Amino acid sequence: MLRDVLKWLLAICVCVSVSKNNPAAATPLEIFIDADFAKSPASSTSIELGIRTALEEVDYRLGGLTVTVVQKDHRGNVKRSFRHMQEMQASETALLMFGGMHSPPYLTHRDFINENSLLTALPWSAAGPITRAGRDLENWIFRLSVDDFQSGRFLVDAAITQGGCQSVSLLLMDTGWGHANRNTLEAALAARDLRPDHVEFFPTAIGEAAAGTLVDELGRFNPECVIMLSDWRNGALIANALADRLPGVKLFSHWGIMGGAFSQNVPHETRTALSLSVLQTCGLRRERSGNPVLRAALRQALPEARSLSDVSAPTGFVHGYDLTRILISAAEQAARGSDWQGDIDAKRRALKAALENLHQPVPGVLKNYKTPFSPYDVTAPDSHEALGQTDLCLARFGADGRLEDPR
Amino acid sequence: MQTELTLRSTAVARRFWVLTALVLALTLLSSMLAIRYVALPFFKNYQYSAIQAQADEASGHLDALLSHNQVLMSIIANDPNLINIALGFDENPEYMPDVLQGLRMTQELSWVTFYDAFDEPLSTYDVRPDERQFFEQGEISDLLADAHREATPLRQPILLHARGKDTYLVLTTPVLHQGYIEGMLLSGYRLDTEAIFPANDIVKRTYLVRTPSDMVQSGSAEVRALEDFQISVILVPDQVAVQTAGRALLSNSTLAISIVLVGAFAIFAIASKAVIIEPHQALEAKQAELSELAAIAQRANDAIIITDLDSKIVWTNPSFEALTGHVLEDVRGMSPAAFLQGPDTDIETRAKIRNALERRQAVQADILNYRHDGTSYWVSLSISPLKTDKGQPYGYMAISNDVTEARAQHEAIIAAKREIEHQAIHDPLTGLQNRRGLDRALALRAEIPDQSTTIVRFDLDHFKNVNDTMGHDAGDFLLREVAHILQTETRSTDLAARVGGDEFVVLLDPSATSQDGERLALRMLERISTPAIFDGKPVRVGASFGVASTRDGLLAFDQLNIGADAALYEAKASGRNCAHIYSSELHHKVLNHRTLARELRHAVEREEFEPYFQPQFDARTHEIVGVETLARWHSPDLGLQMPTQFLPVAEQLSLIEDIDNQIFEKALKQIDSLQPLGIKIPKVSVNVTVDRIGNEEVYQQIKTHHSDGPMIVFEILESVLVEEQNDHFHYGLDRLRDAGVQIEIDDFGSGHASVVGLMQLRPDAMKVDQRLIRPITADPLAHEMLTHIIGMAQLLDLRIIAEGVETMEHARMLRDIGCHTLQGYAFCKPLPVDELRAFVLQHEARLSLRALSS
Repeated sequence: MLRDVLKWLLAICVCVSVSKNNPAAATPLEIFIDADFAKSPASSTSIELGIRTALEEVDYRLGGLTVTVVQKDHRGNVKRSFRHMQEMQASETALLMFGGMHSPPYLTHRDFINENSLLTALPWSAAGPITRAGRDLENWIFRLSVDDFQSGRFLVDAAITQGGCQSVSLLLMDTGWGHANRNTLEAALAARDLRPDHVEFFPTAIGEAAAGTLVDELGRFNPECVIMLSDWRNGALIANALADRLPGVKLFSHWGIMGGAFSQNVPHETRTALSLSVLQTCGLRRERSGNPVLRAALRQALPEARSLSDVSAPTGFVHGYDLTRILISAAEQAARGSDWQGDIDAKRRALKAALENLHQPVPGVLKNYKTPFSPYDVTAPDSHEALGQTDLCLARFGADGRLEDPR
Repeated sequence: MQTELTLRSTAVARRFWVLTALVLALTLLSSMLAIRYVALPFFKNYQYSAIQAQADEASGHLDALLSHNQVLMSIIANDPNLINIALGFDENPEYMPDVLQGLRMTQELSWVTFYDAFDEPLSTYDVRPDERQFFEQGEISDLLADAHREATPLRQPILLHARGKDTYLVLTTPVLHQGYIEGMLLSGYRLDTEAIFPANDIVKRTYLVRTPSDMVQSGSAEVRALEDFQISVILVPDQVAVQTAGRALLSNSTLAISIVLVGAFAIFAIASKAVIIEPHQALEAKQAELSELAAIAQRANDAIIITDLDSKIVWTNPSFEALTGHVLEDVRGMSPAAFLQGPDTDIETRAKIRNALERRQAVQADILNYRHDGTSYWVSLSISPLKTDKGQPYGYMAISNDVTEARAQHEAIIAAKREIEHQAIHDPLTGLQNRRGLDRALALRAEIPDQSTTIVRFDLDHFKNVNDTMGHDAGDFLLREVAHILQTETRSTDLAARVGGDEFVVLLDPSATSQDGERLALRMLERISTPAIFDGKPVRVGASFGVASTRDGLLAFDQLNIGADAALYEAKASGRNCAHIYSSELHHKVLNHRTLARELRHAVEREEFEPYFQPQFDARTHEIVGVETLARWHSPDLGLQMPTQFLPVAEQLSLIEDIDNQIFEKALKQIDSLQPLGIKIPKVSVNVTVDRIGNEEVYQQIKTHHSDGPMIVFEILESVLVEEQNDHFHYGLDRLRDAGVQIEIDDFGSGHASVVGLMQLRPDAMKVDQRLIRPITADPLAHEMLTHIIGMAQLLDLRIIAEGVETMEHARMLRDIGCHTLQGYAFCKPLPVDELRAFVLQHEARLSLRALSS
């Protein structure tokens, strides 16, 4: 009897020691979503929805390994985002990090990410320099979103051709993102032998009065069109002030205003009076043309949704979904190599290599991605950009506050 | 016999003095006990209340001081650039110190540290850096952890260290971004507790603590937790001083009561002594008096008759013989009535005297008597029964004196008085009763209970025109005509009176209703409206009638006249030449007016009027250059009332001066109260009427106002420029100017501005009426006109103030055409002093930030 008991105890001890030696089998890999869930929940939750929808299609398995999605709420604070990066650096299970709508965290800590080989996927942040690594550094940041190095030209073209404006003023948020875009917008205007009538920067937390003063200042230059880079809160205050104090002006906005309750705070009459156009990728247009991938993804994500517009920030959903599908495909490719069985650093490196050398095309909502990324080199600055100039569209708000494809 | 009497008196006196002394001693003893057990506890309670009040005041003062500093730090914490630094969008360690250098901070501030959301210090600012060392790093970390728990806690966490007379404390101010804490400002302060909470008679020392210990709470110390901060104020009362004051109260009160009681008892003793001795003296005096009486009767001027019980004469005095011509020997044994009374003697008076005598009673009467020679005369006769010591009547004494002449004079006076009385209650012109007659009739009516009364009150419309155009004879003729109509239209039981120049009142028979009154009024109106012929020309007037009756249940008797007057007023207001009854609608209106009037009177007594201040701004720099004081009434029943709602009634009640005084006094006090907080309002304007320019009280208020307070400005309405002003006004104006008061012309352009008046008055500034300001953005003509008005003012070297500035566009245009000062909703609405304080602080901070960023 005593011998039987000892045998069982020995067996249990062996089992425990074996499971300790193989942590990967016990602990699933983690995917961090480092975004502002508190103050801009619409953007972050739609990104997460896109990621989860794609992961559900493969039952949350990447290259044969189970993954879990972990929310990391940085609340729009660069310093908090940096702590998440440090956490990922110390983690044995965090495979990669998705970013949210904000660009400043990645603009500020781009070199830290690249120096520490932290695999980062950006489905929204648009600042140009993020995906361009410093000299002699590897590039660990991949983006499937608007690239401001390209969006500047697109917005300027739209203001001049579609808006028919000869005088354009720029209203930019006083952050790294806003300052970076000033250069690209001015360069795009210069290419057409034009200069902005006026460039005005505003802080990240203005009030109604400050918005009025800002617009009054702008009014001194009688702009026909205004190109605005703002988050939704400040953007709503400025849009209302523009319609009130500069009637007749046309407003072209970068998509920063899409992160929250912009349409609830700016009435439809005001949006119409400003002929408000918003920069978007062409998800809505793909929906109009009956894209089957989008239909399937929407059905999976929100069975009750009638169209993409029912998602509060459709861009985040579409980009999150497409980028995750590319990741799934890359992970399958990486899993064929031996590095995939190594530690977390080896796995990140294997996944990065697969992303830059994808063998199979990946069907997505926005397009069929043949080689979305390639190895980075200063001579190939767009190699970590999955989208290009042709993937950009302008959208308008409908009376119900949802985005519509204007054509 | 005399010795016995003296001995008895001495014994009575001794007993009296012993009793008095005993009662005095007992009274003194009970007074002392009463003070010990009643007044002393009351006094202690009073002192305890004083300590409590001081504790409340100390905690309130500290709360205000900390709140002031907290507001300043919140302004910095809300600066978008600072938020950008907290969020990591920007790195600029010099920004926060630069902002603080630019702002006017309080002298208590020692240092500030700016932390990010992870408690990493980002930048520091130091006034007294040594004071940082009083706080350990662990304490600072705990404080930051506390402050992170809630974005807007009910009570701010705080850190505290006392050293000697100084207390060092640290406040936390969260840097919020969209409701989330993304950074923290820790600000250190040094408070001189002895200066803030000076010791006095009852409080030895005041301490500040974070959490009062149990020992302190259960002791005699008074503890107050601050409303907004996690800090308590502890007052330690001076127990020795409190006990000494108690003992002093006991001894002083006892001494005072002893003095009063000894005095009172001395007076009582003296009075009582007189009562005991007096009976002895009175007895002796009585005997002397009796013998004197007999002599007086002999020498008296009045005729005296003594009879027996059957009225037969026993004795007469010499005056009787002189008056009647009868001698005692002839009439002894006869009844006086038998020979003194004659054919014209009043039978009733005779009967009255007879009856009294039968009942053995005294009687007094004036009666006509006859002398021995047959001539008649009047006497005032007084008959009293004579009684023995045991009260048995044994005869009568009749005393009479000749009143014939006095009676004749009295009757003449009565006749004259009747004539005067008739004149006093009648109007000589119309023969109708006058106001006194009416009042008398109403007073008589009032004596009869449950009787209703109806009156018709009317006056003639345009009567003055008749007097002015056709002369007073025509007017008098018309009044006589109306009186004639009145006499023919009213019943004999009605009473018609002329109560004023062309005002009449008819007091109707008690059976009349208000409808009867209205019918009478309409009949009268028809006849009055028919032109009368005077001097060959037709004279035409109308009349308005007000009818009021107690029968309608709306009015008490004594309010009838007021009701009829109100109805008459209604008749005039609705177009004259008609009659109005005092109806329930009118009653309601009168009551409302009365309620407002009553509330207004109470409001003046209870000082419910509050000044509101609307800031005035420099047109170019937008700095606050002054405030205009506006009156608001915080009525507990009617809510917040604007001047248009209460000024007309206040004017009727002559309360304007009281309200103006109240507002002016409070405004100066409230603006002065901002000065210790570092807020200096350069100028306070008040609206004044012309009467107040020469008012002595106003002048005294200004004289007593201290010289480093704000400049006082009187705004006078533009109408003063066109009205002829007397020397008193100019004297008052010069005197105010000498006392440093500036004069502004208010609402310029609203009436008939007189440039000559403007040149004479020489005001310091001109305030353009808001009706001229509002249209300038839309109407070029209005803009042009304003430009010319300002041009004229510039010629006269006047400052220009624009009121009613509603938008920033107005502000820009007004600045460009030369306005100096702006006031209006574009900048700020009128505010009570608390909100004004917060507004000024925020406005100054905004201006400083703007100056810094530019």
